[in-house]
Amino acid sequence: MESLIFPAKLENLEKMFALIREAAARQAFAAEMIDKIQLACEEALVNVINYAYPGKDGDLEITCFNSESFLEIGINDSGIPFDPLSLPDPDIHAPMEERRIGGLGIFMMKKIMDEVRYKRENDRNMLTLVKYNVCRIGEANGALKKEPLPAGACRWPLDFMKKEEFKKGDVIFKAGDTADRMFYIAKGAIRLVEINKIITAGNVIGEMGVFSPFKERTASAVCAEDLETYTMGKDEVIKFFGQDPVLAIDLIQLSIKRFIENLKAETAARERIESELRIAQEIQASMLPTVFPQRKEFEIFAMMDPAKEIGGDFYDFFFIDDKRLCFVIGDVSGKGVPAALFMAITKTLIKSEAKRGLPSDQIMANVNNIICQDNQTCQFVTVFCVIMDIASGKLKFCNFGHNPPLVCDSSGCFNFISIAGGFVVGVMENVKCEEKELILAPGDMIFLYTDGVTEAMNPEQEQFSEARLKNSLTEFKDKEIKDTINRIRQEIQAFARGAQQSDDITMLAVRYRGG
Amino acid sequence: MESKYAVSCNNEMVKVELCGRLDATNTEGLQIELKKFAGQKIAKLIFFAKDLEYISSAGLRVIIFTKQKIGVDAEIFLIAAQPAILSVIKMSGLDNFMTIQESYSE
Repeated sequence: MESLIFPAKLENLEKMFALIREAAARQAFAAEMIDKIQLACEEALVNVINYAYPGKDGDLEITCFNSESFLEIGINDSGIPFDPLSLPDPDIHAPMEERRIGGLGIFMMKKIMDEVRYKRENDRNMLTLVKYNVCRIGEANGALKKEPLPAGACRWPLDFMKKEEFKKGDVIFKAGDTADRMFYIAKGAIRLVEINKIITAGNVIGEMGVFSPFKERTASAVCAEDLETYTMGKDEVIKFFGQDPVLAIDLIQLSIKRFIENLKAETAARERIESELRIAQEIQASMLPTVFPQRKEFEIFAMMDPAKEIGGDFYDFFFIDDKRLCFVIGDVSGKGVPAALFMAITKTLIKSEAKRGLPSDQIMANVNNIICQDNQTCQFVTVFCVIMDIASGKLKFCNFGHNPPLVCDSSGCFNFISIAGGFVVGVMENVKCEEKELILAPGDMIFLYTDGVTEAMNPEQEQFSEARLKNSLTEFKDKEIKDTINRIRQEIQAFARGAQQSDDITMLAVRYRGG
Repeated sequence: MESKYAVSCNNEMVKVELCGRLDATNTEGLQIELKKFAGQKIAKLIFFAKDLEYISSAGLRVIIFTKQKIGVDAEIFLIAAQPAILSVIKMSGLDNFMTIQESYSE
C-alpha cells in the first residue's frame, strides 16, 4: 500500500497523476486503461481541489493498493462533505447545447471503474475507486483443484472464488456493462432493477452474462441488503465446466430457466404496450370526422386505414362559414405515438386558424410558425389544404410538401394538379407558399391522398404507383364518391396480395354538383 | 506532461489543433483562447486531434463549452482522433453530435 499526502492545489495534479499511473502500471494494465484510470481519478481530484476547501488550504491523500486481482485507489480529504455518487448521471444522449457542464466527469468515473464507493468517516470524505484486473485473476487461480467437487452440500467452489462485500444500495453492475464474472450470494439479497426481481442468498447471478455471446449485462444489479458474495471470472467458470459436469449442467439449467422467465416477462410487457398502442390508434381514428355532410352542392367522402403500427395520417373537413368548405389531408413524418400526437396538434391548429377566415396559404403559414416554435423533436408534416366556395366551385389551395391531388374534369380525365411541392410544415419558420386556384365545373371531382396509397407494396416490392391510381380512379369515377374510394381501397388490397401494410392509407374526395 | 494547442480562425471557421495530453491541468488556457470567438459568427469548429494522446472530462468540457458559448449553430468536426480518444468521446455520447473524420479537406 502506497499513500501520499498533497496540498490540494491544481499545481500538484501532475504529481498525483504520476502516483496513480505508476500504481496502474504495476497492476499491468494496458496503456489505454492506465489513461482511463487517470481520467477517472482526475475528476475526483479536481473536485476536491476546487470545492473541498472553499477559501482556505487543505490536503488530500491518495492511497494506492495493488492486490492480486484489482487496483484500489483511495482519495480522501477533510473538506466539506461531498458524495459524488449522489449526483444524477448526465443525459449522454442530449445534444451538446443542452448539456450541463458538470456531472460528465463523475459519470465517466463510474463508467470506467468497476467499483466506486463513498463514505464520510471521521469528518473525512473517503472515495474508493476499484479496477479489476481480469487476466490476473486467471493467473492467481492457475493451480485449480483437479478432483471433482463433492456432490451436494455447497457445490460452489468458494475457496477459489473471490469474496466481496457490498453495502445495501451499492450498484454491482449496470445493464450494458461488460459481463466478466458471476456472483454467488452468500448473504443478503440483490435486486435486478429492470426486471424487478429479488435474488436471495444461496443463489447465483450474472451467469447469463458469462454465457452470452454479447458479453453484456442484460439487467442492473443493486444490493437490496448488505451483501456477501463470492465471484468467479468467465475464464474460471469455463475451467470449472471441465472439472465438474454436475455444476456445469446446473449452471446451464439455471441460465435457461432465467432466460425463459425473462422472455415471459418481456412478452407480457410487449402485449401491454401493444394494447396501449391499439387504444392510441382508436383515439387517433376517432379524431377524424366520419359523418359526411349531405349537400346538394357537393358530395364528400374520406377514409383513413391505419397501418399496423400507429401512424400520422389525417384528413379533415369543415365549413368555415356557410359559403366555404375547407378540406385538408396530411401526413406526419415517422410513426408511433409521437406521430399521432403531432398529427392531433396539426389538425387542431389548422382548424382553429381556418375558422378565422384566412386564405389557405395564410392558414398554413401560421400553423407552420406555431409548430416551429416548439418543435423540439424535429418532426414535420406535409399538408394539402383546400378551401372551396360552394356557390361557384372555385377551389383555392396551397401545398406544404404533400403529394399533389388529382382532378377529373368533364372529359373524364384525371390529372395531377400542377403545383410546386412546397416545403413541409414544422421545420423552418416563415416559409411561404403561393395559393393557387382552380374551378370545378359541376360533375368535376378532386381526389386527395397520402403516399400510403401510391407506395403500397406487393410481395415483389412493387408499388401501387401513381399510374395505377390514375387508372383505378378513371375506372370507378362514375360511382358514388364513397364507392369510388372503397373500390380503390379494394384495388390496393388486391394489389398487395397480403403484403403487410407499412403506411397509413388515406383518401379524401370531393365531387362538385353545382351551386 | 504538457499539452500544446494552436487556434486559428478564418472564414467563420475555427480550427483547433490539439497535441499531447489535455486534462484539468491545461484546459484553462485553451478555454480562454476559445472564449475570444464568443459573439462571432462561427459556421464550423474543427478539432484536429492526430497528435492528441489523452483527453479527460475537463477536455470534453472545453468542447461542450465551445459549442454552447461560441458555436451554437456551428458544425463540429473531430479529425484523425486516435482510438483511445474516440473511446472517451463515445463514452460521453458526444460522438453523436460531431462529425468524426479521418482527414479534413476544405
